[in-house]
Amino acid sequence: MKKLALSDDILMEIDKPARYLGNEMNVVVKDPSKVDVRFAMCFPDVYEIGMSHLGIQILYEMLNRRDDVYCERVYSPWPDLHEIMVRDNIPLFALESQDPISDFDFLGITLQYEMCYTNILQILDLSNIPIWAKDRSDENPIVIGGGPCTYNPEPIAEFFDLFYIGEGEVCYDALLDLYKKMKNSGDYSREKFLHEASKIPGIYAPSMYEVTYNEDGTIASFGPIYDDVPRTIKRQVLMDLDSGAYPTNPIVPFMRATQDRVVLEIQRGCIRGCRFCQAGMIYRPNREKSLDVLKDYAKEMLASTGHEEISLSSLSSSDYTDLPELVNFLIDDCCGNGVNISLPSLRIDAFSLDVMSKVQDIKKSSLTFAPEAGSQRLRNVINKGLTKDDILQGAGLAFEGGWNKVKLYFMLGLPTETEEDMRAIPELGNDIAVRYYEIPKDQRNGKCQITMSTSFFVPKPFTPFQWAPMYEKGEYLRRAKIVNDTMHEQLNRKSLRYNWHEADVTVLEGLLARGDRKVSAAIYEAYKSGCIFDAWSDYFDCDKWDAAMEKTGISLDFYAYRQRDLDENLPWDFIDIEVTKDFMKREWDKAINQQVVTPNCRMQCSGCGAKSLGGGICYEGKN
Amino acid sequence: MKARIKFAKYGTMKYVGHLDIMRYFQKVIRRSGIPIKYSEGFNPHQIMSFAAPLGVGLTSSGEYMDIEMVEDIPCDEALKAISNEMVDEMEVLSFKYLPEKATNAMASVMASTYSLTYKHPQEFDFTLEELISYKKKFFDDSDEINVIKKTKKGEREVDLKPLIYDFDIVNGADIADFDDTLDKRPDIVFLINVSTGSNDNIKPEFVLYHFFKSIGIDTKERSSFYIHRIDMLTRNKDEKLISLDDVGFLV
Repeated sequence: MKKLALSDDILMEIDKPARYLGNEMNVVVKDPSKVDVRFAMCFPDVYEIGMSHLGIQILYEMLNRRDDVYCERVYSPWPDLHEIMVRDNIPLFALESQDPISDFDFLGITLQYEMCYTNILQILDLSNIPIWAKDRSDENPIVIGGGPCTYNPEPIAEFFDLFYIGEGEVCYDALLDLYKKMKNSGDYSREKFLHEASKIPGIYAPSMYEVTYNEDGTIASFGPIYDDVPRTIKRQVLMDLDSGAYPTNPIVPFMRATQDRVVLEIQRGCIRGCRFCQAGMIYRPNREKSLDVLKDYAKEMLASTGHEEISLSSLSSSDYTDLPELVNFLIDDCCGNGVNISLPSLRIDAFSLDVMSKVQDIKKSSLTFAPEAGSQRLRNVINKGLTKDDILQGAGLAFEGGWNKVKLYFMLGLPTETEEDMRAIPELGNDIAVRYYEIPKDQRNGKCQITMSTSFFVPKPFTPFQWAPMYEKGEYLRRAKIVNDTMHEQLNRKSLRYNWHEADVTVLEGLLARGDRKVSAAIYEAYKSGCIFDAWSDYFDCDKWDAAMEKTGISLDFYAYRQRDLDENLPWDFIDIEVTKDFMKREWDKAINQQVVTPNCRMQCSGCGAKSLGGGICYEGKN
Repeated sequence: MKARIKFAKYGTMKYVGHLDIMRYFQKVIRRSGIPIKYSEGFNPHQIMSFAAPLGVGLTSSGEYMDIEMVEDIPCDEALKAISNEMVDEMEVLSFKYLPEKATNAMASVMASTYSLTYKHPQEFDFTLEELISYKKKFFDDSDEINVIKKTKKGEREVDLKPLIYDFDIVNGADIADFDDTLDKRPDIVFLINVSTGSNDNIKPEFVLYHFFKSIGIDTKERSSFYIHRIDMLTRNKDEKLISLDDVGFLV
């Protein structure tokens, strides 16, 4: 029998033991004693969420292509197992070898959302790795973070030895080579390695930097403690996406993962530049994968996994140049024999409706629009190009094609939002319903169903809204109530539905997104008081977080509700994403003061700075 | 033609539940490229059905699924194609075609044979000889074994005696064909052949629970024993119990 870290008694006691077994199809098996570097790659959430993440699959493939590295996976044990591991003192283990994480050279943790921060501490704690980086010895693994939340790593900086800023394809080899060299020469110490690593482009070693604060709590200075450590960290960008490693034989979980399908990444970046969207900024410039590569990957991945569904991944699939050709290829050459395409949210137009009618059951499927704001004025503020005409026209086409369900996504609490903007949300819903009922009764498909959902806006680093204030919980709920009340005044209210998110998590997410190093004390305190799985509403405990903030002197007034000054030193200013702060300031001004839109990258260059990277959309059609 | 696939599931795979095993095989079949038949409709699915599902935590060397083929390829070719797509500790044992009138695996299961061993041997202080003599009284020499069985509809009294086809207790070293995933042959192995199916479905640990109860020992069914399904059986036209595997034929 293959080795298992957990005993039969435990596996029979816990929920979904298949989370902890490894042994899935396409898993990479190596002899750990025959490699130089053992790398544990972690997604700090439960298995079925973590297994759905494409980034880790890419890194798993890329690292395992090296014969001298064995990359394995680890996910957060669900609270039922967490309790048993603490009770019985069982160390956290990697799925492939079932060996303890403490045996590894690196523990890599991907940071996809702020609400997983306490789960990071859970992972470290269960691995018997000291939670604070300063307490670690040469024997402990190097803890390295990556992913979107590293664009402000400061609230968790003291828990990590290193962060990788940017796309993993670029610099991991240099980092692993350095580690191997120092280990083999016998000249390794944690301190020395971190010092050397900090000179590799994109690598940020928090312990090599110090922060001083002004009396009002803002940052006075931030800089390296050694002269040979760079002052700014440049985001690493893979310019030729076709050249990057791609998991053409990804692991196939036994359990149903959230993404139970082949995922084809068609491009990175987005040409749109919505002002609230961090992904739209930190993945600039927009870079496409070539059609031929994607066609090969699609066939190969369906064959190697046996999945019955294939899906496209990107920030805005409709903007992919060869989308019609790609989609037609998938329908003609990959579908059939029980294989379906699951379409990402496409811009609703004649093409997408035609495709949808081929691959979905119209009666069951719904159309999705993300206007993000109800009024045209506010859509201009956030630079969301979509107009009311676009929406009504798209919906009209769809209604005539037989659809009768529409989903609309909005945000509440955006900068400059007024009551009029809030009321515009259900009014837009009503207008769409009106458009539906214009169709003669005998030609339409019963009643229509317009579902509107709002989330609350959270300002993120490296967006033009990074200086914006947030509101208190009660204010968010008041806004949601205005939307709800207005909906009930609409003529077609019986065709309208409205859902809104909880506000507790929103405020906390805002704190963690824009916090500085001082915030780490509150995260630690929250974990110690029992917070894990904060992203799961069943486990999120707002009172414990409030107590942790209170105890550590972390105030929401300062971190969340405050309008930041444009000249303030922001905690993430030391990171250079190659999109300039000047551009962010110009966009802030265009949003708040002029309330005008910025054309998308394909229409006109807005001089954000990403052109200096030398490729992608910035040079499209200009070679 | 319809085909029957026999497979084994052991080691780590015993913690993967039946629904996940079904999904696993759908993907295995698609990867293997064997010409399985799909249903009609908007979301076509493979025509595939499983015999009695195996509970989480049980191992087996006699699991079955029936599939329908659009084209009949040689059995050894199909077996090889499917075997190539297996994960560790899942094994395809045979691929055979079924006679036209054969009932499907699920409906034809009449009995299952199991071996059970102690999870925690130190909790049981009996010699093999003692157990055999207790068993003689409990099973061989008794005319009826009336027990209360809990069902979805409530509790009812059943007579276990006619539903237990065989009950032996042996030394593990004396069995030729045994679950070889266990590190060492245990001293005491319970071999039980019980009625299986939609009507009188008896679990082997239920039999052992009542056996031990008859000698004053309280067992916890699942958590007291490792349970291994050896095979599933059906009745041939002479009403004799035969392996589900023996219904099929090789091409």
